[in-house]
Amino acid sequence: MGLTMKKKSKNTKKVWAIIGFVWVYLVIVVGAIFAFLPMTFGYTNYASLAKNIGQSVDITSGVYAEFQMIGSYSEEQLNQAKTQISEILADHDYINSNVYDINGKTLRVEISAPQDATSLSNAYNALSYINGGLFELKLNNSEDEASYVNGRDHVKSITISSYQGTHYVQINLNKAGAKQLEKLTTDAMASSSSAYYIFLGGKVYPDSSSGKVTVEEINTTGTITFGWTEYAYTEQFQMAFQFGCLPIELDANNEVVDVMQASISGAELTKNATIIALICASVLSLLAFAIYTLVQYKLLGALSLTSVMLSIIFALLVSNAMPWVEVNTTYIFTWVIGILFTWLPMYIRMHTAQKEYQTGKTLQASIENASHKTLFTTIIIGISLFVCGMILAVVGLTSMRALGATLALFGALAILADLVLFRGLLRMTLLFTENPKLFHFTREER
Amino acid sequence: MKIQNLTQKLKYFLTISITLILIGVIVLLSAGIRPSVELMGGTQIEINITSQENADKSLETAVSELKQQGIVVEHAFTENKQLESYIVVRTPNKTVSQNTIQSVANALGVETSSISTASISATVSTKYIVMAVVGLMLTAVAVFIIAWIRYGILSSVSMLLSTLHATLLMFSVVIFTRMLFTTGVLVGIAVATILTIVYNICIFEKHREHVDVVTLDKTKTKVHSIEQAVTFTLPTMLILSAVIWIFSIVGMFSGAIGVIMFMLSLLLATVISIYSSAFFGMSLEAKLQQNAQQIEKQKRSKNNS
Repeated sequence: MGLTMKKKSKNTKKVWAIIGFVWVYLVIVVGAIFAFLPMTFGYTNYASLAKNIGQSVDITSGVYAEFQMIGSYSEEQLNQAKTQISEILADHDYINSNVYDINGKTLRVEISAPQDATSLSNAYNALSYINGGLFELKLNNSEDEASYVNGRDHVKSITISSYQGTHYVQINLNKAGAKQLEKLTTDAMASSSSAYYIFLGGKVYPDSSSGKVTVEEINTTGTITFGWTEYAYTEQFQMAFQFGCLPIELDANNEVVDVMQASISGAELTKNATIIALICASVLSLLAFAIYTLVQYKLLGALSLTSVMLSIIFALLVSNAMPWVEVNTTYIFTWVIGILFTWLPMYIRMHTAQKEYQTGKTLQASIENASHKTLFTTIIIGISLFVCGMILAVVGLTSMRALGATLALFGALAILADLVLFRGLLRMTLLFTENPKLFHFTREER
Repeated sequence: MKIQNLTQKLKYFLTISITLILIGVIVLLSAGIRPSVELMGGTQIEINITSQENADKSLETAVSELKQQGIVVEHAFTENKQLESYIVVRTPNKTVSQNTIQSVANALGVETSSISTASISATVSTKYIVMAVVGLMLTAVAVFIIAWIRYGILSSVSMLLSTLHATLLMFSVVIFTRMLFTTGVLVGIAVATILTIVYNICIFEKHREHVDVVTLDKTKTKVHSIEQAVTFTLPTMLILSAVIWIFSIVGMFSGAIGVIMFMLSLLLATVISIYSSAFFGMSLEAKLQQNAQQIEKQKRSKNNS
């Protein structure tokens, strides 16, 4: 009777295992379709998870702008302006922009923009804010009147927040700015005026009276808040104010904004040579790794690859939510190494299980022992990668930040893939077969 | 492959590492680094090709001619400026001679007045490099703390030293091989550091697993356990490296100099990380463990007497 019960329970487990396998492979197939295939639903175009990640200007076409500088500036001021422009553009999803000066007279800014109408128009708009001019806050709309607060001397940071359907741009001032703000409110009270005027480049901003900016709140400790109901509009104002804090002055009437084609470097190469070579490199290296895994570990290898595939789909989902990630040469490699790091703990476990089997243990015991022995290896590798990645993501800039964020993601996935996915799949598989040959486990029989 | 006598090999590894780092320092002091245009600026060449029929073909011709003239072409692309079309080439070379401009003009069949040059600044701020170095240092410190908690002070010291060794050695080799120092190379250095950390963890975990079994045998010491752990982990490192090598070698076919430099730095990173973790780091660890064991033995014999 006990034996029948055991058999029944094993059969039930097998049914659940089959359901589990169907579910896992369904997730992989559906996930892969959404991850890599562009689709159209009615009037909506879906570009795929992989395509949704922005591309950097070193592998795709872009838009550039050249601005004439007014006056001459020290190298320090120029460097500060260039860093500030890159950081503002990165804030608005143009991660790997190129900003440099030509002969110390012209400032050139390049950002990526795929050649579709919306991306191009957004890129043009973003660049057109750069030479908007200095941000100032005044008590009246006279251009000759001195300002109380200006972007160059008084602004610390400009942030966006949302509350109950309204979006706010908050300008945070430094100590000198806070003092000026106090003076402004005192003067406003004395003149019983409640209107504050924003100036950009010496002109009231914006030009149209319908788009007039209203100051939501002035806090004399050093913040000025503006509010709008539309987020896109709020972002535009934030960008305009941010560029209004540059330490250099750019000629508002002398600019060139136009399209540039993707970068190439070899005489015999086509425009897409870099991206084609990188995709070929990724596919070939990962294919070689998959073939090795399948040949060396057969069923175990197939299970580890299944876990890796699930992790890739999950990583693509998360990467779409990472605002500071943009595909460039180094980012493509970061994915390859991330996938290898996800697979590494599983490889160590498979390798250990094979060695355990050679000592004379059964297949089940070898796998159990290997799981036990490599548990901490997986956790430590995952945690270390996560910590190192987070440090690089927080401290580093541009490609170093993308490398860090992706490493941290794959560090977490390494733990998930080995301890949850691979372990689960292995348990389900062992319900159906315990044939060591299918796992490529061999030993010299005594 | 069986790894043996790690403690005796430490002096050879030290000699190799110190020599390579010294060569790097000498080259750095005498010739400096070879920075890319994105890090230190250079020259931008603009060629008006509005009259040319095929922009891509003109671009190829211009790039090929500039390379023949010894100009390092880091970026080359076409762009529109109002109603005109231009080829833009960026090079780390600080000057471009009139002869070069003339030969490019001849190759393209345009007037020399259609070609202009201007000096350009770096596209990557020094803040990027500073923050990258700070990031790597903080990573090393974080790893030191994790290793201290898990493996003890001696192992954390050898892990920190091997990580710093990998970073320093990468810098040195990049400098004395006169590789173009790009942001990709900087990422390559970060990859070497991270690979060294991961390899170290794999070896230390195996060592922890072996150490109790090995030391039960009175004829064997912790050094044997370390050697066994390295022997066990080395194939894993080689497999990971092989995949990265395939990526790097295929990637080099892109022809873009920035990509080639990145791929070369990856090849270097795989070799240096294995050397730093499995050989330099573990021989250091073996020596430290051996010394610690001897000190403990001496203490015990003193107490007994």
